[in-house]
Amino acid sequence: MVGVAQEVPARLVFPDGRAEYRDPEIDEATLTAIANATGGDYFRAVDAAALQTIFEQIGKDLSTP
Amino acid sequence: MLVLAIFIVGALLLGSPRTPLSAPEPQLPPEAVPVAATFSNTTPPGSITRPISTTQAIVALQPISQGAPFSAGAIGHREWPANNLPPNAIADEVEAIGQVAQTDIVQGQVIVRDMLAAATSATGVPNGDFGYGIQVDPQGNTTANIKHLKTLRMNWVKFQMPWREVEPDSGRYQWTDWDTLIEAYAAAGLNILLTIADAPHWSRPPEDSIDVDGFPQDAADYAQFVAQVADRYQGRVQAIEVWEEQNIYYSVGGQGRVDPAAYTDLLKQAYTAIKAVNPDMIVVSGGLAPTSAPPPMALDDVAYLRQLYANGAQPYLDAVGAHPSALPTRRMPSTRAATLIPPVVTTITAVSSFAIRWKPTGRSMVENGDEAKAIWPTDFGWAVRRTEDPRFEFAQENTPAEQAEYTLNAFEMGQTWGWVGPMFLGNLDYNLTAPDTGRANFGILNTPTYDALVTRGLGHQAVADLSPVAAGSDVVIVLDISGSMAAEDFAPNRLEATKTVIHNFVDTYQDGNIGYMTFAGQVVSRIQPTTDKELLAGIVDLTKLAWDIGLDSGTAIGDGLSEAIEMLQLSPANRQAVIFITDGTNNAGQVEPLTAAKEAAKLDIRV
Repeated sequence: MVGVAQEVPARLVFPDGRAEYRDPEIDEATLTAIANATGGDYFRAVDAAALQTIFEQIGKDLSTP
Repeated sequence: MLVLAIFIVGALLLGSPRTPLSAPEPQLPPEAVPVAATFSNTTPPGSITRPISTTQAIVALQPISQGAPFSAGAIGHREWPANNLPPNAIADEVEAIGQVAQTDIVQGQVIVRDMLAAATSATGVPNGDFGYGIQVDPQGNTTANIKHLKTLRMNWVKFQMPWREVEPDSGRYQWTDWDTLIEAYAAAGLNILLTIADAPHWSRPPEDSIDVDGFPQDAADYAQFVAQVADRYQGRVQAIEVWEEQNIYYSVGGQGRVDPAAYTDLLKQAYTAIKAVNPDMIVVSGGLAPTSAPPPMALDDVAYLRQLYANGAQPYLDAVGAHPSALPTRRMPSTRAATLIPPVVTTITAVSSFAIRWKPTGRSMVENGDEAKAIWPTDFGWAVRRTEDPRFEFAQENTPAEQAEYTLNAFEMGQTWGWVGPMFLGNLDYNLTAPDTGRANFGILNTPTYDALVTRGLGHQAVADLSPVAAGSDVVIVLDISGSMAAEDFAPNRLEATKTVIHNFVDTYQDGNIGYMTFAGQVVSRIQPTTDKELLAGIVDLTKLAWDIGLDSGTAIGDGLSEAIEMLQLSPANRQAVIFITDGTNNAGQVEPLTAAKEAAKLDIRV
């Protein structure tokens, strides 16, 4: 499971052009529970660089028996 | 008035650019095609069982290019889930040895009979075999369009080559642009059909109306030209269609000039000249337009075909061209067309209309002992109105969703029937290259039809036949495309940043098949686990937010996970995993996230 969101409100632009700041809505408890139930890991990315690192780690995990 | 409406339909079908290839390249908007929207099959999540019985399949042990022979080392046995073996899979390597590949075959793909072609055909493309094609504007963006054809996994492309553009004065030729175009598409491994009409003014009889297309005064001028094309593009162009819609006045020099005997003469001379320089070139008779308009405007297509046979055309065609569709087919009580189209047509479904338009063509071939030849639908498609032009009022009768469904069904029908050759959907890109014309109504770029063909079309079925090639993990990547993924705490936003990382992962992961799914309030699109990185990366790049493709923007985490598990059900790899990316809370769908997680755990699928 991979969560993508910062801890602070983020700017969101709607299709009609309206923009507002929204609090993160991520349900980390459920995502962590899914990972734990299936032998997977829960990762949280707060920016693109972190997300890249997470995917590289997942790639390694999947390739290792 | 009846006549008039029928002709509008015919004119749309023709769809010829009729403008010089040397015109400035149109400015194309940036690539932006949504991945399948409302058209994914939403399989209800249910009990999931792992395959236990396996059988032996014959698979490609290495990539096999189109036209390459099947050698003993290139194919071999592999264990395969018994309930997932394609019905037409070959049972023994011997069936393939000595034949050549009909299409490009990916490593690990099960060999099915449709992939085999007799080695005696130099082109590897016998005229009776089904093909999956589309018509493309030669003035379009070549690089982008080749990529689209690859994403659609089509193996044929059709261009309309206007004779008058290439030979503007008798004996003076302008090949350069066509050389470049054909070189590019042939190098991409695509089979090419050239439809050659549009006679230069110098060749036309003086009594002709120059406002419309028409035959040359001397058919030998045309024969000489098409033979040059056949010679010049040996091995790169596989088929030539001799004229098109010659049963309607605008293709033959004006009213009263529809003349099957004159066309038969043109066809004979063209066929003979082409075969003299290039015996492998497939010669297709010009696709006849669906019309019931009477002379002097037109002649019914089936009546016309019968007259061709009566005039002795049979030895001078390898396949029969047809333009079997595009009549407005829904009930249309509110439009002008309602009074103009025969009621029988308006009350049947689009797809059965498609069938009845060309089954009589097949019957008249049988009557004439020519049933061994295939019918090539060299132009078919359904219009959706995008431009405000009263002449195309009827096009609004097909919604984008209907265009997608009809198109999928037509390809499937053609493939199933067995007597259909390559089918050419009209068109790929007119909505970009000719946005303010009626032709734009047929273009499928950036439409649900494109998405449906990518995710559910015939090419997609080939993807689903792939088997794993590595001992590692098969993985399905599940991406949330709900509206909150537009948040800009990642640069430029969550969705785009995640797409880039997924693309990188697809490029570098070597240890199993990768599948891909998007979801919001429901599952939106699915690509079955595959080793085709180019296809996958292309589809990842095309992913858009749910609200940008007209879908509700919920977050159905449980449904998404449940369906991802199902996509891994037939994975014969040692291990399976799901990479699930979301920024939200489960607020839609049927399945509780933890219920789906328990199911995954039971199947030993890591998430």
